[in-house]
Formats: sequence, C-alpha cells, structure tokens
Amino acid sequence: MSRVPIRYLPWMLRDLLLAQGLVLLAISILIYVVTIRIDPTPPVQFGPIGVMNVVRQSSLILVLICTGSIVSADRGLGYYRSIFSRPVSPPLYYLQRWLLGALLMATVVPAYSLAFSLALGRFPIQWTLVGRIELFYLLLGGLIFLISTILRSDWLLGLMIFMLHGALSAFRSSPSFHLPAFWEFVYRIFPPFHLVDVSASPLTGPQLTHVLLYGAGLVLAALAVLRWRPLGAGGRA
Amino acid sequence: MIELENVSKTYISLFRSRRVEALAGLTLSVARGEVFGIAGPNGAGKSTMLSILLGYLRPTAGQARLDGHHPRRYVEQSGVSYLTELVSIPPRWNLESALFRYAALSNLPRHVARERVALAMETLGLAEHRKKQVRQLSKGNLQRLGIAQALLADSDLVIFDEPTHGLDPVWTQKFRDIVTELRRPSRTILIASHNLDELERLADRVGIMSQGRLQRIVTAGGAHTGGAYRLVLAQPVPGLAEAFADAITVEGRANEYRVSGTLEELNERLGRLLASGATIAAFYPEQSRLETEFRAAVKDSGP
Repeated sequence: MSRVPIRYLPWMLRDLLLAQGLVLLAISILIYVVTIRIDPTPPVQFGPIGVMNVVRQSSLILVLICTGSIVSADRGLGYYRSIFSRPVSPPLYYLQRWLLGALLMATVVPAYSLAFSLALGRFPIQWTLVGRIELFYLLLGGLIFLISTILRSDWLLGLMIFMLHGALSAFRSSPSFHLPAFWEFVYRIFPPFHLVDVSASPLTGPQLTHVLLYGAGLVLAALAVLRWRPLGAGGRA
Repeated sequence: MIELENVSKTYISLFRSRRVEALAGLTLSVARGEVFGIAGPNGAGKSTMLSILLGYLRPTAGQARLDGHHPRRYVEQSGVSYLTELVSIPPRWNLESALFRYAALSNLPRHVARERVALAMETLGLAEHRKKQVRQLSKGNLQRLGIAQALLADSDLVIFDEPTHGLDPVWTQKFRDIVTELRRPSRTILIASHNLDELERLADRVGIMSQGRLQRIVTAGGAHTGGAYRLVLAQPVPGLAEAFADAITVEGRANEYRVSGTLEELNERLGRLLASGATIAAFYPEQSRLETEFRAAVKDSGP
C-alpha cells in the first residue's frame, strides 16, 4: 500500500486554494483596482517596480499563511489521530502539503502580472521574481515547517527570526555601527534572507548553493523530526 | 496481533519537575479474531496504551508490536480502523466530504470510496446530515461520524476508544450489532470503554486496568459465583421472611429486595420461597460479573 497520500492531493489543493489562494486572489484584485485608479505615468515603468514592491510586501504574508501551523495545528487539535491511523506516512503527508504551498507561491508573480496587465495593458511575467519568491519560500517556509513540527507558535517565531535578521542586516550595512560578536554569530546562523530579497542583486553561484542547501536542510530536518518524534509526544495522550 | 511486553510510559514535564507514570510494566497479548475489551477508571492508562499501539507515543520502556512489526510501521503499511475518544474532525468540513477525505487517506480507489462512504452513512444513519458541517452535528451524530470514518477501511485491526460515548440507547444497540458484524477470524477488535455492560456483551476477554497496570483479565460469559442479588416479587408474601431472613427492602421500589449468599444457598432459598406460593418477577445479580471483578481490581490496586 502506498504511504504517499496521492489520493488526498486534490483535497489538499482544494484547502490551499480556498484559504491561501483566496488571499492571493484578493491581493491581485486590490492591485488591479489601485493601479487603474492611480493612473500611472508612464505605465511601462510603473509596472515592474509595482510588481516588485507588491511581491516584497505580500510574499511574507503569503508564506506565513501557506506554512503557518502546517503541522502544529493537526497535533494541537488532535486531527492527526484520525489522519495517521491510516496508511499514511506523516513526513510524506506534510511534505506534500509543503510542496503545494511552494506551487501556490509560484503563481504569485503571474497573478500580480495578470492584474497589472488588466490595468495597464500587456505586461510580461518577471520570471526572476518567481525564482526569488520560491527561494524565499524555501527559507522562511522551511523554517516555519521545522518549527511547526515541535512548537505551536511556529509562524510567530518564524516571523520574529525573519524580522530580527532584517534588523541585524540593517545594522551590519550601516558604516557607523559595528555589530557585536554575539549578534554577528546570530546573523550568520540565521537563514540568509538578505540573499533572497526581491530587490537584492542577482545571486552568485555560491550564494545560490548556500540558499538551496540551507533551505533543503530546514525541510529535511522537519521531515526527520516527523519521522522520529511521535506525533503525540509533548503532551498527555 | 497485539503484543505489549513490559511497556511503561512516564510523562515528564519540560523542566522535569513533574513525573506521571501512565503505564507501568504492561504486558498483554491479543490474538487475531479476538474482541478484547479494556476497562479502567479515568487515568488508568487506557488512552496512553492505545496511543502507543498506534505509534503516537513511544514507550519509556518495553516494546509494542503489531503483527510482529513496530506499531508505526504496521499502521503506515496496513492502516488501523480507529475511533478516537474525543472525535476530532475539522469543524468546517461537511460530513460527506469528511468521509471522502478519510477514504482518500485510506488509499481507497474512487469507486470503492463512493460505495464505502454510502454504506457507512447508511449504516450509521448519517445520510440526512451529509451536507452539514461537522460543527453543526450533535454529540451523538458526531460520535456516529467518528464510527463511520473508522469503518471505511477494511482493516485487520480495529480500535474503538469509548465508542458509545454520547450515543442514545438505540445507536448503542446498533453499535453492538456493528461489532458483531465486524468479527472475523483475521481481525482483532480492541474496545476501550467505561461501560462495563457493553464490554461484557461484546468482548471475549476484558482487561481491567488501574494505575497504569493491567490488574486482571476477565473472560466474558462466565457464571456468577454468588454475592448480592436483587429479588423482585409479583406481590408480597409472608414466606419471604422465612426464606430470606436477611432480605433488605430496596427503598422506593415496590416488592424489591436485596439478598445475598452463595449460589447454593440462594438456590435453596429460592426453592423455599417458590414453595411458599411466591411468584418471582425478577432475580438478577446486583452487579455484573465484570463489574464485581472491576471493583475488586480497582480496590486491590488502590493506594
């Protein structure tokens, strides 16, 4: 019997579209409405910058709602008991769910571009932004996935780490401020969010490898926890 | 099918300030084809034991095996039909879609899923509620949904945790019929319940747990060996005092008495009572045999 819940994939996709997909749709509609109202001049220059800004602002929210409580909700509310009494592997189930989130994130830039196209006329999809947002999902989504296998406040902790990293990154880039050794260490062990910012310069080969290995490490660690830590652990039966 | 060998489970708080020993050296073997009941007061360790059997918890010591495999490996390969003590299903799912989801998770092909879902809804009387959201269901209907989702897959291991909790007498009886139909030589059915009468009717053997230990195993269907009984007469007769000098009138119940003795003594007294012209309306043990054993086991294990 298969332990990969392939037959459950349509249900997972449906849940994702009805929750996270609707948020994406709402943001896209908002972009369309705002864009046609402000009447940008010239429109061709406004478009790419607009997409970049909206992607930067909304990708964080979308990653948080795509991965927030991904495991911890099922554990905390006891749903796991009816799910995993069936021939389903918990790591594969949640990996499938996490990958669907990645798929949804891949539609973010095309969705925004479509909204701009409708408002401004023909507007090309910026595929480099699609890659950037996927790398961002790999890092932040992977981090929240890992935290979610252990703690309930996964998205909040993930957000705090992201914001602390942003603050440390700002201090580091300031010529008048020297980051203490401890905070320099913290900055270095945190996921390299600065490399996947939509406005950052193109990634070099080693930087891309660093991001990919770090993200893959987070996801693999999450899967390892799901494999070795029983789902009922950490509370009364 | 089920092998627990000296299984212990201790819950330890984060800073190790509190330790709760939920299971202590539990050894149990349940064969294929058997319906095994688990009885015990609250906190006896029943749910912890079931969680270990499903691989949701790891024992602190000892080992659990299902069909010779580690529980998680068995569950992920074969699946277990499981009704949880508190039915936890996302409240926004509707009843029918919940069953289709669980059928998909059970890896049932679409056409088989359709048949099983329809059959489960019909068997549990849920068809009229099929479009209701789970949060709109009454306690009884939610419990029936819990049973329905457990029945979707054709598993060799069935575990019911407090299956009749919240069910009315009609559905309690129907549940008993369902368990009877579920019996088969290759299948093991485990029922944890506070309802001793239910276990006595359904199980081949009942394990009585208390304070994390299996205190005793009672084989169902054995005869009573005496003790306290209720005697109900059609009408009062003078011969009662002679046959049962120790009879105590049950307060608020007409012509009902509490009597006691060994089986031989009781049979002899009843003979005398009948000879005196009395008409016996009812004579039954005050406690079921399982209840007597349960009380004794829990008392023995008390502090």
